[in-house]
Amino acid sequence: MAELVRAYGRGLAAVFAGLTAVWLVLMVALPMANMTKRAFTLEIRDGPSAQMRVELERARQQIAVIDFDIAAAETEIARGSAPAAAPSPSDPFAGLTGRASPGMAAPSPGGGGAEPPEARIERLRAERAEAVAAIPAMAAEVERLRAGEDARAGLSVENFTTMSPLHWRVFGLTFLYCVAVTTIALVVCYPVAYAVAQAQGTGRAGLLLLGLVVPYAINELLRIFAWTMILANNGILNGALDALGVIDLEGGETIRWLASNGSVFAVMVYAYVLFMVFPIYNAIETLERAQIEAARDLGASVWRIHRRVVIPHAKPGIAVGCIMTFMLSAGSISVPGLVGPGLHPDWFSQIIYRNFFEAANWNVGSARALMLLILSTAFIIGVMRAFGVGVKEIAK
Amino acid sequence: MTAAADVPAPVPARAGAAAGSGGVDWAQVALNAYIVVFMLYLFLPLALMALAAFNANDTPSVTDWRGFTLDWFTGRTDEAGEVVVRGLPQETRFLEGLMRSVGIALGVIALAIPLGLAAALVLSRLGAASGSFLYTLLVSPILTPGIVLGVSTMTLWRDAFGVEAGPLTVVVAHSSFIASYCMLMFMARLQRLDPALEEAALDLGASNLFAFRRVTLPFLWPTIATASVVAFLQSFENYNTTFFAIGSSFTLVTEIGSRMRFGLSPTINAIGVLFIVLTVAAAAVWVLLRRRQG
Amino acid sequence: MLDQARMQGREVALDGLSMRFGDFTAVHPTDLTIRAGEFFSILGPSGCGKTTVLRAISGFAAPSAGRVLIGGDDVTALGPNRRPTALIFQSLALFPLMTVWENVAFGLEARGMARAERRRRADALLELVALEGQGDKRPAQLSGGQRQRVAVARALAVEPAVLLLDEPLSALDLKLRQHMRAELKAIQRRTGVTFVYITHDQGEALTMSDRIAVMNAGRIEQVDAANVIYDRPETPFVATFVGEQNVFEGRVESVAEGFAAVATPQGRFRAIDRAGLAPGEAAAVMVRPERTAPAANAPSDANRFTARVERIDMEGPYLIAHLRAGDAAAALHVPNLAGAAAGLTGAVEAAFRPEDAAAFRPGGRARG
Repeated sequence: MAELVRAYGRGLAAVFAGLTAVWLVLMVALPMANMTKRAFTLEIRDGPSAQMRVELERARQQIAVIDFDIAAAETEIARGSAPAAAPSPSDPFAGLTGRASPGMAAPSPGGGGAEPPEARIERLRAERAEAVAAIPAMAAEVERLRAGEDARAGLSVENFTTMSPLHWRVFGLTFLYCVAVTTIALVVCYPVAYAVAQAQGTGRAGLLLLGLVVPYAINELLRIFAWTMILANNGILNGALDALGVIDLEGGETIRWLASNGSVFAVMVYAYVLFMVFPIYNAIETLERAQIEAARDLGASVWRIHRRVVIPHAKPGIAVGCIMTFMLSAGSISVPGLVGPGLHPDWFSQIIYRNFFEAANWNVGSARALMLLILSTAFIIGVMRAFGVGVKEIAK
Repeated sequence: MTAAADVPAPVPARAGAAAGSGGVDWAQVALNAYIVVFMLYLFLPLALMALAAFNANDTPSVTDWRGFTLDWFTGRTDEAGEVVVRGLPQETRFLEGLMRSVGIALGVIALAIPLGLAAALVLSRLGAASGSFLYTLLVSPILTPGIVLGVSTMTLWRDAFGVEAGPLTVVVAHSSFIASYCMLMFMARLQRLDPALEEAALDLGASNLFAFRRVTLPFLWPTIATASVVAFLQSFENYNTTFFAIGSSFTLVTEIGSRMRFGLSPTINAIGVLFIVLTVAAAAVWVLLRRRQG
Repeated sequence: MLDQARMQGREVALDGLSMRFGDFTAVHPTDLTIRAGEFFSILGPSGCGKTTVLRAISGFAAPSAGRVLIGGDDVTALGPNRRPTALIFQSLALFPLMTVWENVAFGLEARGMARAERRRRADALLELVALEGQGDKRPAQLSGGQRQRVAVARALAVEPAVLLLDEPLSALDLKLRQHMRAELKAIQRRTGVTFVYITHDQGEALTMSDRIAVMNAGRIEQVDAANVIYDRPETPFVATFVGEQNVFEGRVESVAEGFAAVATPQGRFRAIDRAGLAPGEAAAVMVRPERTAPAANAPSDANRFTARVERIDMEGPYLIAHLRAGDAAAALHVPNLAGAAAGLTGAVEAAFRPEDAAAFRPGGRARG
């Protein structure tokens, strides 16, 4: 810190440190802390305090209605006219529910319309005072009930322990599928990355690189869309099968490709495969070609060259590729959400989505999001250990 | 296929084994064939998507060809002005989403660049121990699943500041991880800055601010430009974080997403064609610039 | 032309200055006065703390204790941008994205001077360092020597009272280095600015400086004019770091009239007692190779020793004969006259005068 002040002076150092702190605290630490707090807080959604709160709300509403009636009566007095010829019947809901339409309820509920406005105001004021007087007690009661519930709610692991076996299964499957996506991407990409890196310096390398960059730069959703189009019931794949005479589209014969985890899985590989290519390519690219030639010259087999020379050198790149691919597929809502949505079993990201946006149960949602974060972090740490690389190397 | 089987570096020509110069390097041939297949795998779906944008069929398809049309790009109205085919001009939500996406991306640049730069400058002057701890914390958003960033930001802003999810929370959520990318880019650049330059400026009587403005910033400008482009694209293209933090609003990408849920429409293919054309054009410009420089 | 009258050297004083980094003491408490307008060098091996002293004077490093005074004013608490000093960096640190004249005028720009006036001053300074017409180039387009001069001009532009130079010539080749020595010396004379020159190269220090401080392991061992440093070193380190020495180790037999008689395996030598030696103490007798000669014409009181000639190196103006006398290696210089090498074969007798030799306690010598 002293070094920072010495280099940039107090003012600038304070600005830099301040901005860093804002980022770190407001955008990294606090969101995670808040999410964790919610995850460990049990939200009781229909306990006694909630019912009491509804009554409190009704009471407040009633006061507002009385105020409206008083105002109406006052206007009446000011106008000096008699009440309307046909006074409406008394509001049957006066009391707890609030009146349906204050305008209609203006005439007195009590004495069959004979009550003069002055008396009515008198009575309404009394009613109002009574209602106002009751509010503190009700509010206190809500607080008391809430405190009791909070004591029970408070910190709790119930958001995790109450997860259904079905969702646990989804959690496990998501992990397995993501590991599989990562593995396949690695196997598919390593030769590609190696070939492009080895072509370095030739015109072909630039073209190959461009061939990788362009689809990488095309939006994720469009890449997914291209595949949905292929896999749709009346899509290209079924169309092709129809043309080959395997199925009869006209006759209503279709194969439902989209309605499976398999299709989600296949599209996910396509969507995230390139996140594996570039880190490995970057790593292999820095390997001197002479090293490979030397190994070959010494009579090493292709397999041995890769095992002993190329792969050890590419380790950080492989680690980064695996981490990014896994993290992206585990945190993907786009692929499971858009490839035949609703037709295939849930992915874990969709469970998080439901909790937040359909069940509106943010605490449970937070707990699920935290689980996903822990899963992903554990995977990252595991990969880093397995490959013996640190954060510094990862972030290159 | 396994990695080993298909990693065909040329087979060593041992004495007496290969038949001179006429020998075919089968490993290299296999690798080349593999690359061709891989490129087909990458491009064929995109090509099919692009092709379907010109099919008059209102379900995106290439197998059920109903004639060439540009209607999905231009839309079509009859003489009475009634819309017959809804093309891009009629789909005003796409345009609205595009504007909002651009706005959000500009906001992300405005936020993530200063944050990333400040953190890079702080880290460049910190000792090894505290530096590497802070570094790990600041890099962690890159390694956090996008949907977690989305929900945690959205939740915090409502809980702590009463701000409902919308473009603002998206800017914040995007910046939280895009700033990390910017920081890494700035750190790489700062490593190449001779600290004597800043000292020389101070020694010649410059105030800290003047030295920063006149020496450090000019050195960083190229990286600020590159980082801005990266930040813009990262934000513009993002779906998973945006989807959770946008609330009831929408961006171009989330709008494409919700259209895809309702069923496939060739207007999305039309957008895809525009994306591909823009990307290829940008890549071509980039290649040309590199040729000219190098 | 540059308004030289405006520039005026000032005195630099270190008052009990010390610098510690954690457990490591880079500079032990030091008092030092550098006179106004002198060319002062701090000479020492790398890691001796000389650069740290320079950074303390320029304000880039805060002292752990003590004060820095410039022209009598305490500047210890001031930042580098508020001291009347200018530093020429080892790497020169020219701003790569600015033109040459913008580099030179940077200090003036920082002071808010108008552009036209800046340009005028920069051009005048470029003329001073013989770089007329190069103002619109970039530093990268200049040669090493030219860049050197830009750095000098840039530092002089702020009219400093003290110019600090951190081994600025080390990146140049030998010829250019010798040329720049003369040029720096001339600029110092013309401007009257106090120069504080940091170097590990004794040749630079000896040729340019009015006075030299020799520094070793965080301590200044001697401050004197070049000839005094060379001829009358006060410590074994100064004696051996500046120039070469033949060293004979032995034991003190007697001390009288400022001379010590030391018995060594090579013979009994008399030498000026520089350490207040006492009889019976271990001592090292040192004498420079150029003060050592074949014994033929030596006066009667000279110290003599016999040695075997191992090798003769041709140095140009003179020859170096490498000798071995028992355990001790020695050398002597002879002028490269016709037939000079002829007698230097096999066993020779060499001699040196007692007043050319110095006796120290052993140890504390420079390595190599």
